Amino acid sequence: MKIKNIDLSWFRGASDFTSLKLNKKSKVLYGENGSGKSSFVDGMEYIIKDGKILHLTNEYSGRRQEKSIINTHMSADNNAKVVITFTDQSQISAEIEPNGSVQITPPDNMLNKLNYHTIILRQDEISNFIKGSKGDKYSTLLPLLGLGELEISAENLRKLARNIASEANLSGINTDIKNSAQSRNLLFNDQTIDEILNIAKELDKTSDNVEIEIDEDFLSNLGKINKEKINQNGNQNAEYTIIEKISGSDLLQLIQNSKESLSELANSSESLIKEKLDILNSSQNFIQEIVDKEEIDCPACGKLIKVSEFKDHIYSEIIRLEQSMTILQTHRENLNNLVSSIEQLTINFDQESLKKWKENNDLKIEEPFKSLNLNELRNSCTIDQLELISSTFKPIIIAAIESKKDTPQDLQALYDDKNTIEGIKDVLNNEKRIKERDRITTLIDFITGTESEIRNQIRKKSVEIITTISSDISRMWEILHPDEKIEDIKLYLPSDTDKAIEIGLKFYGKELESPRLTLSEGHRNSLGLCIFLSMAKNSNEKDIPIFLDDVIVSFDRNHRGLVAELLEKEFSERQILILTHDREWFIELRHQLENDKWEFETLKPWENPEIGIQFSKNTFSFDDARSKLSNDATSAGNNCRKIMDNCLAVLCEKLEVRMKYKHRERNDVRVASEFLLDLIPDMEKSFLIKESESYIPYLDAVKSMKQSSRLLLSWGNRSSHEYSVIKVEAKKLIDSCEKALNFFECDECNKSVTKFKDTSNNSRRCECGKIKWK
Amino acid sequence: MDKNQISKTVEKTVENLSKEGKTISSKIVSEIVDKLSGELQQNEISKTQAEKLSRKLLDLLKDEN
Repeated sequence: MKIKNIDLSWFRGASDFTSLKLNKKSKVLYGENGSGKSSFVDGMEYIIKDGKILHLTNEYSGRRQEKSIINTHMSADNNAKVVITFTDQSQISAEIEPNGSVQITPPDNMLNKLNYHTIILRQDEISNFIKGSKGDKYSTLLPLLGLGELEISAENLRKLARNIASEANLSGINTDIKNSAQSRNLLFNDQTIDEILNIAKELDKTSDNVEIEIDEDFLSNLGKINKEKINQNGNQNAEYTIIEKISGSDLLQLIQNSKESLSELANSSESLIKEKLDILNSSQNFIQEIVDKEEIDCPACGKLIKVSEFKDHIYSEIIRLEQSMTILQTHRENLNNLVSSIEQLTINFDQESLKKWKENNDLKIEEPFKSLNLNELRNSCTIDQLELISSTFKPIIIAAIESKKDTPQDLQALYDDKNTIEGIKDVLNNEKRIKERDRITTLIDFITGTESEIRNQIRKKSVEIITTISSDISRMWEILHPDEKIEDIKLYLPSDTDKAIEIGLKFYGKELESPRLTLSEGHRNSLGLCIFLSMAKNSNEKDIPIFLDDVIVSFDRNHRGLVAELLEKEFSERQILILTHDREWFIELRHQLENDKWEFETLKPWENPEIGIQFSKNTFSFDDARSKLSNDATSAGNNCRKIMDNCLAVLCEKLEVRMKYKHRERNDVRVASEFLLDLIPDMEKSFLIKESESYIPYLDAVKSMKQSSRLLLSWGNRSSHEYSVIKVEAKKLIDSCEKALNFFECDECNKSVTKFKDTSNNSRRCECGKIKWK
Repeated sequence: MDKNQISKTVEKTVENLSKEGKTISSKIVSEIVDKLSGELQQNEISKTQAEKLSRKLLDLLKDEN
């Protein structure tokens, strides 16, 4: 479907009503900077993006961009409007209230389903794309390859897997499993689970338990009986009971665990992990709200970063910090266990029944340990403090182990049973923990496996599409850069990372990994244009027009001239809107592009918000010069001369007027007066007009051009060099030049005399044949 | 990706897991297929959404037990 009109009211540079009429055709719209031509592209973007325009997003534009989207002089009782009318008369419109709230009709329309990057290309977007990292290119191109949904799915699965691990406290479970395995090893060496359960059966002396199931209840009951027996004995042997508890303390193992986790923490050398993670997690939520900003400060490291990189940066920072966080959490768990153990040991050590034992063994808990704040130790602990704890309690535990040997045999047997029962309980619990860990790990494996499958699909499809697109890019590049030693332009997926796309090429026979290594700015932008056009050509939206807004700014004259050829060869059926402030290119395009498919319009220079965007009646853009008459006649005259320089250059080239050869590049910088020197004699013999049934010399045209030539020599040059032209003179110069050029356009068919070339008699003529150049 | 393609992708993962002797419940598989057909392929999910879905999957894991 093609666009018929784009109508704007009080939108951007437009005042009450402005209509860009495309009439199913492609169009080249010329206007000097600020004339309002981009307002039409903004209108398209506004509807495609459901009420947003990327380049207008800034701190001053208002919450809904109302301060930059609505014409500053719109009255409060008006609304701004954008209406796109298609050739089947269907319409999509946006009506914007003064506060910026917008009603798009219909809300679910064909434009807001489109990918902006396959429809609209602006100059800054080309250079940003080429300058961007391979991650940026991946982010930009993936949606254009139709793989955006897959990438989002893969990314969400990655996030989900991470969340499951954290929600299920997988690292905590793994620590418990590790600690429990160590205890099991101490108690039962390498005995199997069945052998360990058989020990429990042997401890049960109350029944014939051959078939009994050893479970938690069974072990609890066994523990209860054991405890009762110990209590009966323990009342008589209080000292041994406490010594048994002290000797069984796991404090020394916990000190060792804490030393190990402290060492790991020191290696990770990250401070304020939790605080940074909190910020990063908040940033992840914040990311959802970032839609159109270009750069942002990373809340973790403060680095200025592009939004596209920001998301990846947040993700990698979270992964890195979460690894550090796991180390920190494990260390804190170890410290917590350590402090709890110290507290228990201290309580036991302070028991009255141990008084004599402590005296006999010369055991004391003294300074500097007594000054330690145990609550603070739960958060952090130095290696010196750990050594202090060890040196304080190790003698006590060793003495307890030694004294334990004197425990009455029957009581010792009960203690041993108690330890065994608790050990078996822990073994059973650990079996459950391992099963739980395995289930969680399988779930995570399932999620990450699915992510990996999706990434494989992305890679496979990307390679297929990129291969096709690369061949288009290469072909388009050939059109723009024939016979240049920059070849084999292609997109490729770097093998070292899963989220990157780069551009490869051969530069004078040598393979290069990136165009940024050697290509000039102009060449890079030309490459960006080829990539964008290849994407547009391969997208599903082949019916939708392409908007090219000032995309050839950095192209030189030779390459710029080939863009028309590229568009005609590759996009002959597609509607295209080219916007340019380059007058010379506009004039070239008027002569290059087929008039049955292309129309040309010019905008007048923008005057004020109330007048808004104005179309010019003629297509020679003399309005640029005319707009300067009232304030600066010299500038108006000078502008007129420049327009003639451009117009005559293209006209002489098309009419094959023979010019005297000049030294090297001077051939490319001739001025109007030089062209006229050769054009006027040729006009006298070659420019013809049909009268009755025969052609006669077009004397009016010759006379008019001679008049312009005289004025250019006098007032045109004065404007350029002496700055002394007055308004009346400048106006006469502009009118005269415009009139002279208008003779080259037929007043009946409105086509240029350069329109058709008849190779049989080496002539050119307009469409109806009224004017001819032979 | 339509639901059919998603199911195929997910089934392939289930197959790969079973080769390692791991199984995953059909309820979890179907939950992931549903979510991938909807919210998981539309926009990047927020932390809150990720937490909610994680809890749901862990609950399904407990139910399975």
